[in-house]
Amino acid sequence: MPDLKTWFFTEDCYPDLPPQETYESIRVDLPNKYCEPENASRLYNQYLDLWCAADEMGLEIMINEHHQTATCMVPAAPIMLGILARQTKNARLLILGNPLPNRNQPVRVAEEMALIDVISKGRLECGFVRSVPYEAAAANILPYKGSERLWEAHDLIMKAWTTHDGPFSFEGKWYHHRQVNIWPRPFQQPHPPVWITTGSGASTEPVAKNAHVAAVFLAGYSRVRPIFDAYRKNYRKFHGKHAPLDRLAYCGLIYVGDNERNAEAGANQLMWYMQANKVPEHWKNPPGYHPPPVSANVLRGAHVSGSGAAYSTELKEHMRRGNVFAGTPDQVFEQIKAFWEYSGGFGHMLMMGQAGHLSEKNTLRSMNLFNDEVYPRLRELAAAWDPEEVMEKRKTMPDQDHADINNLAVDFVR
Amino acid sequence: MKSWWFTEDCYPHLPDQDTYRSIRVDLPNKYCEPETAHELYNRYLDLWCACDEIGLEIMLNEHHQTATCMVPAAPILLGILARQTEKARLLILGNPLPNRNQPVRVAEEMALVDVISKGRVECGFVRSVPYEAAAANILPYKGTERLWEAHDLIMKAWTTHDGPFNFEGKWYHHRQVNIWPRPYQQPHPPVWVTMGSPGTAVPVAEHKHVGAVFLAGYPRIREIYNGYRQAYLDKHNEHAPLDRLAYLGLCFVGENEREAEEGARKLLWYMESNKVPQEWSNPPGYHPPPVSATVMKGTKEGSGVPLNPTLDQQMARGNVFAGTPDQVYEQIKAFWEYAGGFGHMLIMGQAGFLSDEDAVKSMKLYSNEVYPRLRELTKNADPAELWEKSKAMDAKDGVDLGTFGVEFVR
Repeated sequence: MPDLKTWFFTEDCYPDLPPQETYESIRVDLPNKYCEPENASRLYNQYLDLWCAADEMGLEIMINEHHQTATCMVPAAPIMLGILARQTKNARLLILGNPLPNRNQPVRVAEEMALIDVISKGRLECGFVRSVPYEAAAANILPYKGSERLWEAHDLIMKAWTTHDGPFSFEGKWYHHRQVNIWPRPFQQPHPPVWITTGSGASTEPVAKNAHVAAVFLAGYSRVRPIFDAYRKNYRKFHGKHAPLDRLAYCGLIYVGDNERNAEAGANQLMWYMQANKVPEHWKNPPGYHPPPVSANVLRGAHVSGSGAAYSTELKEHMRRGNVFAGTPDQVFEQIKAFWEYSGGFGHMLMMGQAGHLSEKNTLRSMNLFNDEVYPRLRELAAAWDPEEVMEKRKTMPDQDHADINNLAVDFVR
Repeated sequence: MKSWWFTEDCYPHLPDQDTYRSIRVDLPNKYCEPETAHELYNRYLDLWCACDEIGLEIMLNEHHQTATCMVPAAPILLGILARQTEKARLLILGNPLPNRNQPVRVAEEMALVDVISKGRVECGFVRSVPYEAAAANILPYKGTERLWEAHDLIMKAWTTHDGPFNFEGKWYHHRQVNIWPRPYQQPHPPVWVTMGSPGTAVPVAEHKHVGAVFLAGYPRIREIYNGYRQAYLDKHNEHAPLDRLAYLGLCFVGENEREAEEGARKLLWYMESNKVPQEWSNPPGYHPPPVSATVMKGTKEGSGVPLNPTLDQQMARGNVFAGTPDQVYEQIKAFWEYAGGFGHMLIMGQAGFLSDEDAVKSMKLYSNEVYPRLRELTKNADPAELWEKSKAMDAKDGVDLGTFGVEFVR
């Protein structure tokens, strides 16, 4: 029976920053003097506590990594994942993901993931990402041909995970490695489930071919169909059957409140994630990262000023777009249901449930409400999923377009 | 004197040694049964958590593609212990810098763990042993040079707080370095570096880092420590404090001699299991030519089978300390005086099939009955005086270990 899993996610931000006007960028070159160690320590432990709470209440866990940024203080997600492997009991542990083109030793990634898979008794779900453009500078890598490196590193890692009879050598275009024979091997056989982020129809092809989970971040109504549809089409092409529901994932901001007023207050705090993302062009459009037409779009600028200030973000507008789901449990269920049906369905709801100054208490309240009152209904919805029926039903819902989401999302959706 | 409890996290359930050529690099991972490995990792983590409660400090390390040490990413285990322990200092000895070609990532990982643990990281950097070269897929040549250049980049990454810097070295080039988070400890976490000869001790002493020596025993300890002390004195015009030197040995404390001997024999698995053929133990370019020649002369017709001296011989050599609390204290004291003193005892306290129960029992006996006396011994010790006394003692030799140990001491 098809199911829907919900994954609780926070980026582990450091929100206690000076006024945005006083710095040019929140990423890459914001001096780390602003990262006060005592405060950072409190925050890490608070975020880890939230993930442990997710495990206790029955939500799955998702984490990610970024570098040199106050938006996400995790420069090494495998370390956080290792902690959670040991401190949680039931939750699946999704890392979305390992920035393969930026880590030039794929075999080490294979080792790290296998280690965590074994410690957690096979609860790892392993994401691989090309990573967003701002990461190129911090990672000190050439942004060009990142997708090609992603897939070659993927091939090497898959081979490292599944080879058990002694060393092999790998001679690729980008990676060359002799004597690969990792210890430990993964707990899950043949290998942990693999997830890849997809930002365009074209990028779904290799994901579908490998039957990996394709995750889409913040594509909203305007872009989710072309991407999910391309995945489904590619999946049929390669496997001769409908893509199961659990092959598609969608990440949005979610806040569930006891009433509309506190739901709106919580969601507005989550919006920090979008409002804080002030990044100048030289970090978000490094030469070679984007294909030329996308690069040209970015160059035209999100704003007339071209200041790089974060795109002005209205909660209501983002809710209309399908980037944010917020309200009472009934409202949030209806919002997600509408988006889910519009998109043709997906089996994983990635819930960015904490950001900015949203307190631990209010985050937990929303998680609990979601878990008790929204999640069961979403699972019922998914259980009744029929791939052909949902597409029939979709015909009654015309394509929706929305105002250009501009630079915030060009990292995710192109 | 601080004591650090250490286990390599081995996977001891292997077929007969005669059925494989090497326990490292190419022993197929089919032997690593996931369910067993899962239990082992959690047992070892429990042992480290017990250290924290008992009052010992924590040490861990990493190796690759080997059943002798199932930790291919020590920062992950360190992260777990940062969150699950309260007081213990957390020593990673160490990060194999020449084998990890992104030093800035190492700086980030260590800063992250330092912040999560509220400043309890003690960060070791190592060149790493020769068998690691193949698994890491790196050129073994000039590893020491890469170690120190990566060290410089990491130190700069840890201590720069006012925005990005560029680093243009011989081996590493990195623009826009500005790590988030920065370390909790200011100016930076304490740094440890392993040393295996008087020459390698010099830069460690010059940086005032802790110099750690593994299993040098009576035959080699003095020349290495003396190299450190002399370089420290030359550079800083004062004697190296005791807390700048560390020694690692196998240690088992029992309630009586019989129990101690049994436990210590089990620890010897660490040495007895280390079957490694020449192509892994002597990769071209790793050792200087004279050392390489020694290795090539080989033991047991170059089979790579360890020589396996007896427990008594290993004890006489100063590689293993084992016995009742009184005996272990006397053994360590004698070695400590011969060595000219050191401030950190690194205890390999678990290996092979030694059970949790036995390991914890030994930890507690050590902690309750040996540790206080060692601290008393070192409390008012004067480094200059200890050094003079040590120099006056007759040199003591020990049993030949063949190629074992050449990766630690050359």
